[in-house]
Amino acid sequence: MTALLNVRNLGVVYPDGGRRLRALDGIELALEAGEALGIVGESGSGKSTLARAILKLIAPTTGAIEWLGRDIAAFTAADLTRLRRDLTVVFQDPVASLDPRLSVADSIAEPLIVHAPALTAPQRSRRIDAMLEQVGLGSGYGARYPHELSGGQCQRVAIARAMITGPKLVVCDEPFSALDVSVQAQIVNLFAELRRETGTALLVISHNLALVRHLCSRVMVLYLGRVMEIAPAEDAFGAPLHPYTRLLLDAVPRLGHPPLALEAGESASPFEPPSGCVFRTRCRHAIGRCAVERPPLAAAGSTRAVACLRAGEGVARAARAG
Amino acid sequence: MSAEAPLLAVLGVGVSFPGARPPVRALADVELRLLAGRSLGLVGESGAGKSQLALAIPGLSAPGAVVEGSIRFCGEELINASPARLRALRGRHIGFIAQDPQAALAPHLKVGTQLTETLRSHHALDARAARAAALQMLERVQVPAPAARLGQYPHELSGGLRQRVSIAIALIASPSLLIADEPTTALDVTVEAGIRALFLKLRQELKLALVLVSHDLAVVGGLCDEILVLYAGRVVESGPAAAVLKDPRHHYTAALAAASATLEAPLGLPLATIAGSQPAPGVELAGCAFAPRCPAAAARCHAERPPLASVAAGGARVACHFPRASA
Ligand SMILES: Nc1ncnc2c1ncn2[C@@H]1O[C@H](COP(=O)(O)OP(=O)(O)OP(=O)(O)O)[C@@H](O)[C@H]1O
Ligand code: SF4
Ligand code: SF4
Ligand SMILES: [Mg+2]
Repeated sequence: MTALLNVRNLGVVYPDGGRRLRALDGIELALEAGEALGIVGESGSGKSTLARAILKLIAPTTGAIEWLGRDIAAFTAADLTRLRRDLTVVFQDPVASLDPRLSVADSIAEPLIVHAPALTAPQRSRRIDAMLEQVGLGSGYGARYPHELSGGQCQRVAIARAMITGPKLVVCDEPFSALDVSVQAQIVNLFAELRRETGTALLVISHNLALVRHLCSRVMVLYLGRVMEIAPAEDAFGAPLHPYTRLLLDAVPRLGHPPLALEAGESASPFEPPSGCVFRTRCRHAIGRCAVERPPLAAAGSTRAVACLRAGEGVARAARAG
Repeated sequence: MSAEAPLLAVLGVGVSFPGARPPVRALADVELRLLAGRSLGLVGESGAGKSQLALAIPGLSAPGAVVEGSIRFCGEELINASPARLRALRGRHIGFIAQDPQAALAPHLKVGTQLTETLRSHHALDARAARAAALQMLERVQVPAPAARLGQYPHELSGGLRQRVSIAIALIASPSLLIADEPTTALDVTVEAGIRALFLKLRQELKLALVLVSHDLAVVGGLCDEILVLYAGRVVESGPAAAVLKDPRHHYTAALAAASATLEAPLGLPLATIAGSQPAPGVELAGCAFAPRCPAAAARCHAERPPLASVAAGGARVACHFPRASA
């Protein structure tokens, strides 16, 4: 079976003045129809670059991205129009992603007018009303304008806009970060339900590990442009194999626990990634070898892979005390 | 202790936008008290009015907003205070970190200039002393290489450092109250964890009172002494954060806690949600605003608005005709 999406040895280098920033390095990924993949990692890890490359907003420096078995670099204008219908996106900033001059209903109507021009106006407004209900707003919101809505309300409109064409894959770049808890839960359930019913696959970039764990079947952990770990979400978060995954988990606020002062500091500079293992400057388990050998992404059982020289010793298992 | 005069006392505060179509009442009858050095978490659904409350306190409500009631800071009434008086209070006595992290920093000014100008607009200091204070504040908010940062522009900093710098600007004139509206939204989990640990440290070191807006109950539980739960512009529950989160008595607070995803919850089931949605802005229900979504709603709930009343000796108060039984 052809995967929906294949990312092959993807590398993206951004020129930045005299310097070169390697935002992604040797990414391999196959996404099946209907799958939900979470991508986690700090800023500078390359999550949004990966999303942009998949959306064909930037061109790969090396490697290729294939949609239904064909390299998107070779797509014709007609292919691209279909791609924009089948592959949609929900951005991080809900307010900025909406045109302030358009009513909510007109915003959601835009992609329908392009991709389903045969619909009559009444058919279109029925579809829009149903979609507004589905994203938890109610059809009464159709006549409102973005400035009259709170941040969370705007994000629901953006999601309605992304779902209205019946896409095969929705790329969501931090879709939850502006939403309150009960809406997050509704949207997670909504995405899960749409995925079951329509086979819409999801690629979810989020810093909310708990939501990624609930929504996604697999998770990819990126740091400084490289894959640290890829595994079923439950395994990655329940029994991480990479110390970086462990760091991300320790940072999650937990009810009844005061905030932990993590010692690992902020991400190393993507302009000067450390030699060997890029995580070694923040890793509590680093040894001499970590500075010279680049850990390969090695299989760990049949469903997981991890890039750590000491993964076999179980170094990532113990949670931080506190 | 209860006789201690509060640093901040909010009584019967309402914020409305009569010019909006339809007219919107964003907040009604809000009441809160915060003692010096204590922290209060404002939680609630999107549109509940958290930002409107956070903005109203230091007099930053949007043009067109009508603010009523009483907001007393150190005993001084802020409602209808002159714009000049409010400007003087802001920064000097009340630090504010906006929900939009870009808003705090002027893109064309160096970090050092922004810190020293803020400080010197409130305190008579020469340039050298202001620079020393700026350096010290950057150290306090744990910005690495603070001396070099003074000469940098905001865009040269990572998101986490920018947030630390905006915290430094909010605190440079030594306010006694810091209001932070979702200060860690859109930051990395690790950076967010660092900022939370920083807030804890700053509160201890500076005896700072904190009003923290967050939609994460675990964040409020970890950082705040008190909690105020807003729904559709009204307070539905308030009290000691630990007690309220452990044993919520209002049905909305309980539903919110149940809907919070955790890393431990069993998988394969849908997340608990709250059916329906908050009333649209501009819609005023006669009874309890949560009634259309409440599993315990009865006829009385739709007809009569429940007042905020004490349910526990510890100070927890709920606005509910039929509060949940204490666990
Ligand atoms: N300028 C305005 N004109 C009319 N209504 C407004 C205006 N600004 C805010 N509102 C309304 O006031 C209510 C409270 O909004 P507020 O921004 O305080 O919510 P919030 O709790 O901070 O939400 P979020 O979690 O999304 O930030 C909402 O119904 C919103 O639509
Ligand atoms: S390879 Fe070494 S430095 Fe890298 S994560 Fe593993 S133990 Fe840490
Ligand atoms: S007043 Fe009634 S509807 Fe409102 S929360 Fe209490 S029980 Fe539910
Ligand atoms: Mg807000």
